[in-house]
Amino acid sequence: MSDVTPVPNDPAAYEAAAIRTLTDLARAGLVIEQEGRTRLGDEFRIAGSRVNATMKVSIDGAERGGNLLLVTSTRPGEGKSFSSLNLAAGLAQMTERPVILVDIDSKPGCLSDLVGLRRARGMFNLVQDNAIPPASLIVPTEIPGLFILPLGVPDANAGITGRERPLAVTTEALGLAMPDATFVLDTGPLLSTSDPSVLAPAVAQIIMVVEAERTQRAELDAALDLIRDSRRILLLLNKTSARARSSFGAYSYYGDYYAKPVVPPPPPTIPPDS
Amino acid sequence: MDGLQELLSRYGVLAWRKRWYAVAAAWLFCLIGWIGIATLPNQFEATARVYIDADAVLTPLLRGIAVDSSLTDQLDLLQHMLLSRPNLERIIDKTDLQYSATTATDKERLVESMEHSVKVIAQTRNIFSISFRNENPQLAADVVQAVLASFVENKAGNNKSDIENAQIFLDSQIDLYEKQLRAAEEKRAAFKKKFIELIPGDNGMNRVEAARQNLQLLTGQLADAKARRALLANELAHTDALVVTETTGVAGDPHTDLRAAENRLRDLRQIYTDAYPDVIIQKRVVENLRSQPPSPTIAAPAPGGQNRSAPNPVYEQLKLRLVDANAQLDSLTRQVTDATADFGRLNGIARGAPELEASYTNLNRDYDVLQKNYSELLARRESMRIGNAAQIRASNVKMVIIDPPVAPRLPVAPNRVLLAIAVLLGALASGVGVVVAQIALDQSFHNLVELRAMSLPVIGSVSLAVMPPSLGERIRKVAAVLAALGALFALFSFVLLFFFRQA
Repeated sequence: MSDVTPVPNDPAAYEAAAIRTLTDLARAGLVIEQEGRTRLGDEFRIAGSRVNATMKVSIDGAERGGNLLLVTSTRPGEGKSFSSLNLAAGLAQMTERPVILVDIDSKPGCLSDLVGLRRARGMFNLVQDNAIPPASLIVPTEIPGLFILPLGVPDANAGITGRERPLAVTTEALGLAMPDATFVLDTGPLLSTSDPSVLAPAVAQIIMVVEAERTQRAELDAALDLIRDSRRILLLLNKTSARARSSFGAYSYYGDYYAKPVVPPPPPTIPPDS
Repeated sequence: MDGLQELLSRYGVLAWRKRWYAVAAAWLFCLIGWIGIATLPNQFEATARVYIDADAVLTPLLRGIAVDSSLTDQLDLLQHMLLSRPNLERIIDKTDLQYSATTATDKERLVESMEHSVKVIAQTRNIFSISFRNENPQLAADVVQAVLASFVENKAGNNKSDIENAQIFLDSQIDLYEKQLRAAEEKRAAFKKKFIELIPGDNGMNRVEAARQNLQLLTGQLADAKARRALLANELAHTDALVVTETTGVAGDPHTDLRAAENRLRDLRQIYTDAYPDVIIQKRVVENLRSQPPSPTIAAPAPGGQNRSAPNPVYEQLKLRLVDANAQLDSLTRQVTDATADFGRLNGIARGAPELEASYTNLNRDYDVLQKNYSELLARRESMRIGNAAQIRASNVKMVIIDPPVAPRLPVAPNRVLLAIAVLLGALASGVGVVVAQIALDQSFHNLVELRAMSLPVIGSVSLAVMPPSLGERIRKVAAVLAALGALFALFSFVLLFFFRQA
């Protein structure tokens, strides 16, 4: 951790956790709120509604980690952060509950990086010190109901305080601390990091992002094997090519329909000589 | 149709994604292949042409009579002779090849490889080429020279020793056949002696059969004889032994006798004088009769033909024939007894050896075959003697070296240009193969249907977020692949040029 700049334990020293604008979010790949209705936006809305339905069951059943949604995949680069962000935005739009997007993927170019929250305090700090109220670290966005809990920066000066808790416990506590919020946890890939498999028992639902035309079935089997005890595993096929016909019914038709302005048929022309 | 389209598009996507694998495979294949070709050693071939005049005059004359070796046989023989182990060893020792093989196993291997690498080819009926390939042109020429030399040596004493060998072979065969023939003869004679009675005679019938027929015949004759005798006996029984002579007067009447005597006397007197003795005798008879008193009683036949009944000649004859028949019957009975005994004896012997006839036939056949072969061999030996004499008189094979072997300047192999082209084709094929293998091994998910096969709930599919690549970018990507392949072809043309120059 020597490459991480030590951050003084002074809140003022941190970057102000200002509201994240749509521009910031767009940098991270937000597509759902772009101008007009796009095919991608619709696809995420449909996926979001299904996730919502699933979560509703687990929240209503008061299941453990019912308001936690883990997003993972088999390998890096399959679109976890992208899917998390857009699913979170979609959920925020279609529910009354606040949706908090939690970044637990500490790779360079992670979600926090992209939305400009690299230096903001977040999950790392919560893991280090359970005394920090989570609400104080949550950053609002321009999308109403959508918040971001950044990755955070390890505090080198924190020392051993006795308030460290494992990631799974921290996450579970987070869900319990804000039962009215929905948490979307953006984690690393299952086959490269241990975070998602550690977190899996604490959450009620997991989304496996599968990259179309690339993720191999054997890999997916191996990844699913790591989280086989989980109750609800949902698959999301990402990066499908526009050619694939069996996406969602007459989808391309609607895409085209919304993309083009509806032009009324021209009135019948009357021959002038009549 | 949709399914097919989807499948094709799927393959297209995969192939495009794996394009660099294909390009890399092609490059790797080409580089390794071309470097390999460049490092292949040059092969030089030295060739000598010889004219061998297989005697055109002699051949048709002796065909069919003598052991005539045709040209192809000669070539065959030549090849085998040249490539015989001792000959090859001699050739190796004569040339620099000996330095390339130091250990015994190396030499062994060298000899074996020489058997295939020295080529004797009939170009026309009489012209043969002998060629050898080696990395060293001078060595190749030396080897061919050595081969030619050994050919000349061999050819000189060849046909003669050939014939001698054949003669020795024939002699040994004839000896062998003679022995076998003699043995067969002895065996046959012994057999004949032992079973003389049972062996079929010249008329193709054996003795048993003959005895049986004889017995049958005799039995028949016996029956005939018996019947005849019975007939005769019957006849005899019904025939009287005496017959009563029928005369006009009373039989034995002296008057009658007297009258007859007087009549006879009268007759005699008419021919002869009274002094003729017969007349005198007759006179006395008459006187005697006149002097006898006439007796009416039937007396016993008195001398002078007084009997009334005479023996029956038929009866006599029958009696004689009956005797005859009895004798014949006796004779036949004896003969039948003999024949029965004979037949029984022979039959007993024959029954004791049922396979006798078959083995006799076998013996005969063996003997015939042996005799036929033996005489054939004798004829063959004679004809070969004639042929041998003819060959010795004519010097039958002439050999002229048309092209002596020279150290070649240009290599004949490897054909690097052709190999380079083959490598390029192979490289392209390997590129395609890599892609095909990748496609075959691919297990990715191309649409929701495939993902649903995981039997987990699927919440949806999301299109590729980045905008489809612009036209410029697509062109750039295609151009990159084409450039990689173009570079390969450029290298290929350079390699070809290099190899052409070398050749």
